[in-house]
Amino acid sequence: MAFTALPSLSEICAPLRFKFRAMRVVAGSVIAALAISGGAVALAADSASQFVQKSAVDAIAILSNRALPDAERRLQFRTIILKNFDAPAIGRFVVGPFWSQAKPDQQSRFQAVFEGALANIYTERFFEYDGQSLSVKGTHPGDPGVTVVQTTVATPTGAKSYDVDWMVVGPAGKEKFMDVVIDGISTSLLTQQDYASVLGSLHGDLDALTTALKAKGQ
Amino acid sequence: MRRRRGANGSDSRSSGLMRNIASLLGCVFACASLTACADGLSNSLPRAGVVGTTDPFEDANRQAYAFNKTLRNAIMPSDGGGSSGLASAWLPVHNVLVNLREPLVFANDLAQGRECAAGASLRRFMVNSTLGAGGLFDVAKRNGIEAHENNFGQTLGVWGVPAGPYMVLPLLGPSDVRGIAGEATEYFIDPVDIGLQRAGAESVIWPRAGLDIVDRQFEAAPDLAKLERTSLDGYAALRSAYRQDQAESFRNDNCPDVLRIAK
Repeated sequence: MAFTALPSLSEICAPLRFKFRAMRVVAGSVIAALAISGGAVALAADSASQFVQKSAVDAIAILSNRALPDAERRLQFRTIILKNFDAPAIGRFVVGPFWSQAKPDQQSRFQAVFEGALANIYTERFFEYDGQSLSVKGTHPGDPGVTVVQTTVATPTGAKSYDVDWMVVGPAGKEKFMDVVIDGISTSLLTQQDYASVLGSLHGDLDALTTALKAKGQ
Repeated sequence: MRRRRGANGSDSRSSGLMRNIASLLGCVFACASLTACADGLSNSLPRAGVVGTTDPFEDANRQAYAFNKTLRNAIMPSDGGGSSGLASAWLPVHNVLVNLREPLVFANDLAQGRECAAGASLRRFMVNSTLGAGGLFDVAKRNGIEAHENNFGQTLGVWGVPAGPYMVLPLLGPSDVRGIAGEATEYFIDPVDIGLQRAGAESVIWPRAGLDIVDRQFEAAPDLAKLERTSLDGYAALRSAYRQDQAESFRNDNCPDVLRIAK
């Protein structure tokens, strides 16, 4: 029969069914991946939020401990900053394109000094924040790999409040701060533009910037 | 950070001054329209997220910055008078100055379509002018409606006028061409100044402007001292902070939480 040469309906449909099955598998995988990544994002947000709250509790405990002399409180506060901030990554960021132009030994010397400068910057920013409260307003993804935790820091009387956004990087349990944005002003970006001005006048010499940081007592 | 406007003048003495300001405005808007060209000349320093690093007047700006810094260090305690009690003594004056500015802030909120912020300004002015004894006490703040800044420079920005080159003014501090144009325009549109002129109290306008400048210094002194202690180039750090603050002022709707919930 001529008809036998024609493919049956089931034969015609077989490739389609295969395509549908394949599409279902792909769609299922995509949905599963999205669910997993959504869950991962939610998990990262929760974890980042907890990291911010724990860091704040630790920091406020030190800042409000008036039994300690100022010098000791500053020292303890610096230790917390160095523990919780990703100093090497921030160091690379604040130097910008000059980083790749520098030699490895210049980069190492800079990072060794910049760590102290970073601790000084944040100690100056936060040292007077004793007795203040921090409340988390929300979290959202920032740049790739960054979770933004939005908080409000208020004085004990509520007379003054600041919007403080914390840029958190790293896997759950090993988070670090990459930047803190206070009332819309990014500390890392400000430092980058400060150093860029200096590096511009120093012809991009990273060693000269390191020397300038040392001379400043940072 | 609240930024306040500069000096004003009165009708009786100002026909020449007004012409000068009008001429200045013409130049200022012309400069603002040239911003795109100036942006093209901007330096190649690394930057992320913040646009407009144009600073063609950097040499003059640095001189103004150095002058302001010297003046501030000479007359202003680095903590803004917090430790000596000066800040507490100044607080009622600050409150009155902020209250006198609320009608202008309200007008700018409306011009920018920020109805919640406008509602906050209006409430603040009504509450603080009455229950706050003419603004001496910030009763509205205690009830969750904190003061926010707005000005005609920002309104121009919302209307699409570019910021123009960065400028540092003696006494007044960091600004840009658009900000200066805004401050000059506020001379004509500040409801409180207009009211004072109509009431024949022009003599109050200049002292108010002078107190505004002192108030700015009080507010800025502690932050500027910190910025200088933690930066290598205080000028560049302040320029970065100013530009980021400007960008934030466009993002922030200035709607207090208590009013946001009520909406």
